[in-house]
Amino acid sequence: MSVPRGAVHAKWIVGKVIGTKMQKTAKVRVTRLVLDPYLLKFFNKRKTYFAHDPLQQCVVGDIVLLKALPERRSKHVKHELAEIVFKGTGLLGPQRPRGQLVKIPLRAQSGSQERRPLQPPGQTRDQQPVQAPVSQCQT
Amino acid sequence: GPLTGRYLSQGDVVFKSSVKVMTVNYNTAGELSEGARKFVFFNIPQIQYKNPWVQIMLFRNMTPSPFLRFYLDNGEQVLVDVEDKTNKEITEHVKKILGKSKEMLEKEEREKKKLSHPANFGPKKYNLRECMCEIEGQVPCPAFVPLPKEMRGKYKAAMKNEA
Repeated sequence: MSVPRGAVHAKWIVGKVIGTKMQKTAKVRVTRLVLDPYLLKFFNKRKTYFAHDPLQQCVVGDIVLLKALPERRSKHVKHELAEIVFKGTGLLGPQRPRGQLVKIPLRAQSGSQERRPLQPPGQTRDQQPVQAPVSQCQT
Repeated sequence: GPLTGRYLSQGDVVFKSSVKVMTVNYNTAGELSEGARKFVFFNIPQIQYKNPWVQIMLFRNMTPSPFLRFYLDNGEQVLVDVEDKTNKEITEHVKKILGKSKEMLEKEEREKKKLSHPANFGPKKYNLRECMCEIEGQVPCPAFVPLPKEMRGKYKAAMKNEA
């Protein structure tokens, strides 16, 4: 049931592109500062908008200016890409350096020290009772 | 500090209706960005409080020099360089170029006042007073102080029947 709708409330918005997996559409996250009524502090409130991007020139992480379309393009798309303010890298986060897997040995190769032969249980090495260290207090 | 209702309402930058988005690019370190940082910490809450429908976005450490950018309704963009300026200078400049003038604000207040008549009685949301009994010097509300005998309907009806 299509209800005749008026113009979109937000005419111009600036947001960050979070997804480009749709054809000719970019998913844009817009943050606005909203005042918490008790704490009296402004917090960022997020909202996602879909924007029409005919040339598919948006990459994830772009900061983008959107313009409201005169009429809705589809059920969710009400804006179009006006301008890319800052270009993003297209990477979702810090990437670890990728390369061939290298096998690292568990213990470092120590050629100078020889391995001690294992002692049978019940026999201490030095054959002396272990004495607890006595702290000497100065009186 | 910037977390009081009184401080927020003391802001005097009210944007013209054509301003839709405000973007602040600044750096978290560096002497030249100091004014911008103070502007973001002290003045942006005041501006957002007075202009709840303007989208304000903050970008940190993206460009070497700090600047403000306003996106207007007609597609125009206003770039304001903020490097090496104190936060007071920045607010004054922004008020001068994109803020409503004092006369306009006063005119709007007068228009607002015209809508509600202070002498009307009614719900607290739309009027100042709800009933005549609230005013000092008038007959108090019979819910709190019982009316004298002569004013009660029972007595008046009895007197009428007698006569």
